[in-house]
Order: sequence, then C-alpha cells, then structure tokens
Amino acid sequence: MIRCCRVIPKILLIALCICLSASAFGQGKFTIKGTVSDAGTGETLIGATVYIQELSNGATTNVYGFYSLTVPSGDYMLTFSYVGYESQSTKVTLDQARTIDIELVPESTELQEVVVSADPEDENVRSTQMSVNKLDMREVEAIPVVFGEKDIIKTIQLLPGIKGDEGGGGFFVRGGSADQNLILLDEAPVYNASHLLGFFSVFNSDAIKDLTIYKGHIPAEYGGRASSVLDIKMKEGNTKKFAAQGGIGLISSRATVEAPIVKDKGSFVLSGRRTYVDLFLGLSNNKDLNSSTLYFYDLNAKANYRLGDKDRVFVSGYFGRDNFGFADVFGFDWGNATGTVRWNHLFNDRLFLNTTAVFSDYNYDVNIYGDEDDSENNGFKVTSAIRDWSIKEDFEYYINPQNTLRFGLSVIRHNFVPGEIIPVDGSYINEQKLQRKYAWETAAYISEDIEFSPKLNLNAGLRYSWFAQVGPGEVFTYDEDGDIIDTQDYKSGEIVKAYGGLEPRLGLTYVMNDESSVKASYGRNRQYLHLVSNSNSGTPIDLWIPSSNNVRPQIADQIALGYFRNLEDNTYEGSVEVYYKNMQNQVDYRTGAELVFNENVESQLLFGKGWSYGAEFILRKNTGDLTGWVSYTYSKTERKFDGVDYGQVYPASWDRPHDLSVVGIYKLNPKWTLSASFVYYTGNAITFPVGKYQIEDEVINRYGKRNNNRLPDYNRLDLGATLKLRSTAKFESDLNFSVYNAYARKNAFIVNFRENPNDATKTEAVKVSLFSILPSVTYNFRFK
Amino acid sequence: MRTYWILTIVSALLLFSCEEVIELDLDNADPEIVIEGTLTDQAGPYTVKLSESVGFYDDNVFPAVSGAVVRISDDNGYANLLEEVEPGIYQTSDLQGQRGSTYRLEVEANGAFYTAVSEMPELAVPIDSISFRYEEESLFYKEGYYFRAYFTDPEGLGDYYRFTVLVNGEVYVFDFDGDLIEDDNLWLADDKYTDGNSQDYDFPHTLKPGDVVSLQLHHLNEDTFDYYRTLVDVIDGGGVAPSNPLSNFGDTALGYFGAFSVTEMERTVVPTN
Repeated sequence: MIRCCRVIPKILLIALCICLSASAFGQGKFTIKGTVSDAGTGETLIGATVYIQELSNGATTNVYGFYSLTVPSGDYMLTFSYVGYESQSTKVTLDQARTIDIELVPESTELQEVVVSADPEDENVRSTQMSVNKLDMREVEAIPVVFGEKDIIKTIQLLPGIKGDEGGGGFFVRGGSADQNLILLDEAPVYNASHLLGFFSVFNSDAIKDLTIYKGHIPAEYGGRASSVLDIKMKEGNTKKFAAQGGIGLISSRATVEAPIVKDKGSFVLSGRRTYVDLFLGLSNNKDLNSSTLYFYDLNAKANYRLGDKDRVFVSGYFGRDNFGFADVFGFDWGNATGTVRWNHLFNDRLFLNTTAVFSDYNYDVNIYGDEDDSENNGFKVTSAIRDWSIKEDFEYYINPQNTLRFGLSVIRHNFVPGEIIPVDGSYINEQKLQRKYAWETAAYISEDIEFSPKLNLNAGLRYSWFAQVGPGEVFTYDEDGDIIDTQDYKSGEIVKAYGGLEPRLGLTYVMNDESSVKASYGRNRQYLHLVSNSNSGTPIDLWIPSSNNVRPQIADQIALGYFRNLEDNTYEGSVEVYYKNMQNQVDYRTGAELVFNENVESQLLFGKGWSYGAEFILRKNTGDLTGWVSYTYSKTERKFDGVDYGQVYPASWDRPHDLSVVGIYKLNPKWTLSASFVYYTGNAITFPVGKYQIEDEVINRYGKRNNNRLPDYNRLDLGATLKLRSTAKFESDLNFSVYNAYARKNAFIVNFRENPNDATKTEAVKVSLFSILPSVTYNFRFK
Repeated sequence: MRTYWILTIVSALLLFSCEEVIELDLDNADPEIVIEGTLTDQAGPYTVKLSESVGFYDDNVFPAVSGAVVRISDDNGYANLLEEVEPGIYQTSDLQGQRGSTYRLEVEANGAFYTAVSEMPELAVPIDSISFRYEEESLFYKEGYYFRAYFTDPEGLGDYYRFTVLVNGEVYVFDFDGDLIEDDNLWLADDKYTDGNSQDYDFPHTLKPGDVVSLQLHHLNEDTFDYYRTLVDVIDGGGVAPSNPLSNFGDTALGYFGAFSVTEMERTVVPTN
C-alpha cells in the first residue's frame, strides 16, 4: 500500500511533463485570461462561458471566476455569458497575451450598452459533465419551504435522483445512504448538516453563492464519499460598495453585511441567522417553559483580498450551533465549525494553483445537571466530536481550448472523539472515556478535459486514495458474531490498518448537434469514513467511525448513460439519464445493536453489498417569466447482507420506485412573483408487523423480513408569493408569503401500531403526520 | 439517556404532528410458538406459558399450546417435568431455583423441539430503600407523589437489572393526557455507567397518599437483559429496522426463558406537609 502511495506523485509528475511538452508554446499562440464577475457586487461568477465565435470554441470560468484560453493570434469576437446575466461581447486583437476581466450585468436590471448575444447557453449539451445539478440561489429563494426558511438541502431534493424525507436532514443520492454524500462548504466537509433534528439545514442561503451536486461522474478532484458531492460556495462579499441585507421570518431572522476592504481588491461578508422561538418561551408564565432553551444559529464569514495580479487570498468560516435545554435539568447542544484558507496563485497565464487549508469540527455535548442536594447525584456531561485538518493543492493547466489539465494532492488528518462521560462532583456516574481514534486520508489525482473534435469530448480522471487508521490505541478484532478474538496495542502514529486504491473517473460526450448530445460515464468512489446512526435521517448523536481492521472502505462503481437535449434556442433544457451503481462493504446493524457509547461499536455492525439502478428525467426552463422544472425518477435500491434475513435481498429503507417533482416560478408583474412546488413519491420501504403475540400480558408486534412493506404514498403542494415593496435606489424590500402543504395532506411521517384505546381486544395502525397546512411570511430587505 | 433523547424528539414533534388510524394491507405470517418461562431464587412453582402468535388485525386472543412436553433441568443433573395446570400453562413441582445454577428449558410441542439455557446470577441485589416526594404540576410531572428506589451495584461490570412495580397490587395505568395506557412493567437498568456505585432509579408513577408500592428488583444475566432491552425497543416502535427481540431460543420460537434472582420491598405513601 505504502509503496503505491509513493509511486503516485511520480506518475503525476511524468504525466504533467508529457502534457507540458506536448503543448509547448506553439508559434503565434497567445493566452487570454481573466476573471468574470457581477457588475453590481463584484462577486465572481462560477461557470460563466467565454466563447470565441471565429473558432467556435471557448472556456468556462473555474470556481474562482478565472478563465484562460490559449489560441492562435488573430482578431476575435469574445462573448461572455452566464445564465441570468446579459451576455457581453468584446473585440480583441490578439497579438500578445491579454488579460480581460469582465463584469456582467444581471438581466433584471435594464441597462444599455450591452450586446445581447444570440450565443447558445448550451452547457447542458456540450459539457462532458453529466449527472450534475446546479441550483441558482435566486431559484432557491423563490421556492416555497416549511416556515419560509429557505433551505438548499430541502430544495435539492426536488431534483431527480435525490431523495429525502420530510422530517429528516439526510438525503439519498442514486441509492446511496445518507453518509455517502460529501457536503462541502468552501471545501470544508460538514459532518452534520442538520438543525433541529433535520427540519432545517445549517446553510443560511443568504451566505451562499452557488451550489453544485454531483450524482455520478464525480470529478477526480473530489473524493472520500461513495455517492455524491454537494459543493457549496459561500459568497465573497461586495467589492464595490457597502451592502446589507436581511430578513425577518416566522421562526428566524437573518442579517448580512458585505463591503469592500479596498475597492475592487478585496471584500468581506458577514452573515448570521438565529431562531427565536425561545424568546417567546421566555415570556411564558410557566416556569418550566420560560427557563427552557430551544434555538439554533449560524454565522458565516468570509474575506478575500487580491495581492497583485497573480495572487488572491480567501479566508472563510462557518460556526453554527443548536441549543436545547430544560431549566436546570438537562442541556443538549451540537454544531459544526469550519474554517478555510485559500490562496489562488497564477504561475503564468495558463497555470493556476489553489492551495487550501481546512479545519472542520462537529461535536455535541449532553449535560445532565443532576441534583446537588441529593445524596444520589446523577449529574454528568457527555461529549463527542470529529475533527479534521487538511491541506490541498489543486492545479489547473489550460493547455489550449481543447485541453485542460487538472491535478493535485490532498492530505487529511481525522481525529475522532467517540464519546467521553465526565461526571459532576459527587455524581454516582463514573468517568468513562471511549478511546479516541486517529486516521490519515491522502489522495492524488489527475484529470484532463480533451476535445477530440468539436463533437467528441472526453474527461478522463484518475484518483488514487490512501487511508490509514493509526494509533495510539488498543485495537480489537471481532469474529462474525461480534465477539472479541484479538486485542492489540498500537503506539502513537503506528498504522493499525491501511487501505488504498485507484478511483478512475471517465466521462464521454458526443455532441450530435447544437441541441442534443449523448453522454456516458463511469466512476469509482472509495469511502473511508462511515456513519453509525440509530436513524435513517440523521441525529445529532450520530457517530463517524474510520475504516479499520474490522470495517473495510465502502466502494461504489457507477455507470451512467444520458441523452441531453435543449429546445427552442436553449429556453428548455432536458435530459434523460439511466444509471447502475454497485456498492461494496455497505454497513447495517445487528438486531438490538448498541450504538450509543459503546467501545465495541464496530462489533455491532453488519457488512454486505448493495446496488441501485434507475432512470431520471428532467425538463427545465431557465428563462422567461415562467421558470422551473419537472423531474421524475424511477429507481430501485437493494441490499444483501449475510446477517439480515439469512442473506436474502431486501430493499434499502430509502428505496422508493417513483419520485415526481414539479417546480414553477412565475413573474406575474414587476410587483408579484408566484411560485409553487409539488411532490409525489411512493412511500419508503419499511418493516411492518406480520403478526402479534403476548408476553407478560402485553401485546407485542411480531416482525418478519426487513423492509417488507411501504409507507403510504406521499404528496404535497407548497405555494409561495413574493411582493416587491416600494424601492429606492438605495433600498429595496419584499414580503414573501408561503403556504406549506397547501391542501393539508396528511402524509405518513411514521406509522405506529398500538392497542385500540376503545377496544382492548383489537390493535390498530396509526399514521402520524407532521405539518398540516402551514402559512408563513418573511420580510426581506436590502441596502445597496 | 434514552429518556431524555425521546423527550427531545417528542417535544419537538408534538408541536405540529397529528394522528390518524389507517388500514394497512399487512403480511400475515404463519402462527409461531411463543414460550415464556421464568425461574427465580424465590419459592416455586415456576411457570412456563406456551401460546401462539396471531395476525395483526386478529382479536387479541392468543391460542394456548396444550399437550406439550415441558422439562426444566439444572447443571447438577436434576430435572423436573412440568405439569399442564390449565391450557398452555405448565408448572414445576419440587424444583427450587438456586443462584449461580444454570437451567435448561426443553419444550416439545406440535412435533417440534425447542430449547434454551439461562444462568441465574450468583448475587441477589437488595433494594436499599424507597423514597417518596411531592411534585407540583409542571411540564415534567402531574401533581402528586413520586417514588425513587435506591440500590447498590456490586463491584465489576456486567450487572443488569429489571424492576417491576405494582401499585395497590395492580399494574399501574398511566394517564397520557386522557389516554389511559397500561404500560409495560419493564424498568431496566445496567451498570455500564455506574459500576460499583450506590444509585437510584426514578419512577414516573403518579401516586397519592395511602397508595402501596410493591417493588421487585430482578438481577439478570446479560442475555436476559438483552431480551428485555430489545423487547422494549419493539414496544417503543422498533426503530429504523424493527425485528423480533434477541431470544435464547434463537429465531426458532418467540419469547424467552430467563433465570434471575429477586428482591422485594413494599412501602406506603405517607403525606408530607
């Protein structure tokens, strides 16, 4: 394993040399580079296209808004475009290397002096990337959600291939479990993305600039999770002038300020959100209520600064926490903290390097305060955490418009604190600390976008990842029944168990014409961390564990095929994708597994395999007064574990055949924007009783095979409306109304089986529904 | 910790949730035998009950399994054939449970053979005392008297407990805002966090002056505790992947055979000022 790891950088180096030499500066070739940003705020635009009409060729900006194009000398018309912005064209005489920074103007504000390009916004068709969805934050803002709290995690579940539950914070991509999603906030992994037990996500949409979810053909620069990557970028802050925005909602308020540090050179943004149900609790006369706490908050901060032409530095951080407590009895708080420092450096016009240092922490504390006066005090505190530090180097080399090379390295240090009990003074609870665990996760990758011809594009990526659990610690080996058969002591830094392997990622696009293409992809992903949870949807006390001598890495292989079609001059974007995914070393739990505070938690796990296949359809309209999409997914996800029903195949609990979403946003007039979203899906697989029996005069449900039933079908309609209030040049505001579950459908959240309260000779099934019709209103304002 | 966790979820959800009885098309598995046998260090006779499971939408009538051959033997070679005293109820004659002994239950019924083994823990753990206190109406309590039992865990991890409670000789019926529910009588504890310490156990029963509380403390082995623990999981709804409790009959039969020691205490609620 170790030897392989040393070989990889060498391979990278050789590959790099070949590419560099192959593309040595040809005679008469020059590079145009620059940054594309928003004219109003200076915020850089990710994925904006730069198109040279004369060459029928172009480039897209990277996540820092940077592009680079190397083409023969000549006179060119360059067109810069980005969805939702007026395109801009400019004439260039290319007889030397040029830097062209462009500021695009959003479509909604009407300005002259812009040449509106007829150029197709045909990324959907042309890109080698498939199985990807992007959401515009303006769409997220318009889509109605519960309590009017804009939530990207809920909104992405309206896209094909992404499933979630009403009450849960987790989501499931193409049959993968909830822990197989890599959620990145400015490149920092977020280990628990839920607030308030999953009803809200930790992402305050005011602070978010852009999000992309990769469901398959995950680019080689990403790794560490088997199913998907949700890549979220925070806003950079207005580089032009001071701006502020905020909102007052039913359950929370938000405020964001942003301003230049030095105009057009650097800026910062600060954004906060806090719920305030507890402030009302404080007004209550009931002494239990008014001494209770129940709130969460999020803080996002980011600053960036341009150090000359070649360097730019970004610092960003997130801190959020949930707090829950009853008077002096008990307290429970949990949350994430992340920090990212990034340095963009341009070696030359065509070689871009980003260096990232990341910190991420998720932890929780449970406090039972205990009764000091009581001789039998049971007070204690439980804490648990996962903490990462990592360094990443990502190079982008723009060889020519037909070839872009990306390569890089990353090293992550994982520290796990599975659980520590600290008693209060005089408590009869004993101090206990589960062993801390440590691991290294490293990877190297190289990937290249190659345009063989205007019709045939390839993205070929190769990633090698290596993971090792290291000491110190006492490491147990378990047999099939979960009993300890061996115990070994490891010194600090000593390798307990190492794993590694290649992860090829391939994507091929054949462009049939301006409006349609077919794409195919294959990808392998390795996952070295596993989530141990009592629930499908995620809870604050979920535990991340490393791969170890007992737990092998999860491996997912996915192939996908797709047909992409744009209609009516790219007004409509459509695609059909089919996929098959094979998943090895999946995790499930033994009957009666004890997952909470267990030194031998690995002995409670079962290992098996899973697979998923499906077809996903989406038709999307991105422009005009009416925008939105219709998406439909058919899928099946099954698992096979020797320890579950004697190795019989069973559906995963997040399996459901049909998923339909319809989202519409309609600009009625300059004052009113209306929106609606409708979802229909088959119920998830679940285990219902197959009978009942009696123990100690209690009626007990009898269970049979795993997930042999389904919850009832789910459907829901949400409505929204935004009213623009009178605005001035400096200030604008709006009121956002929303109605969640507009026709008050009683969807089953859970089904309970109990004795009939009116007839003790009978038992009955009771469906518990969460939110009935739920109107809410939010006031939003913006100083510009 | 479990209690607080449930409290958290329940309080968050109750704010918005609503309930409705629904008819489901459930699978009906073939009837399976249910064996319920216990043996203690108290005087016999000890009972083994044999019955069958029924479909979920059937009435709560569980057919007795009659004419079975039921035998309990111990590790000293002593064996006792049980007598069917009423349909499905089988009793020992002269067997006396001993702490530290291992017992085997064998059942031959309807042409099938079932067997389970249980070791009675060597120690009986006494209830040190029971205390009462008065609580005013609040978020946590209905107005009334509440009791707490004290006991001392023996040194060494691996002690498991179950309390049973009778109030005025009856199983207590809880009042959940008007819903009267006779809860299970499974009050479980272990020494995972409290090994070797004197500790208490808080009961949620609301009492009034004059009520008589009869408390039993069963000292269990780990298998018996795991059965009760997973039985409680099933009673509480089963979690993500519900399955039948962990039984020492494996999955050949439902139910359990458990040998445990018992201590008792009885106290009457006296009004305080």
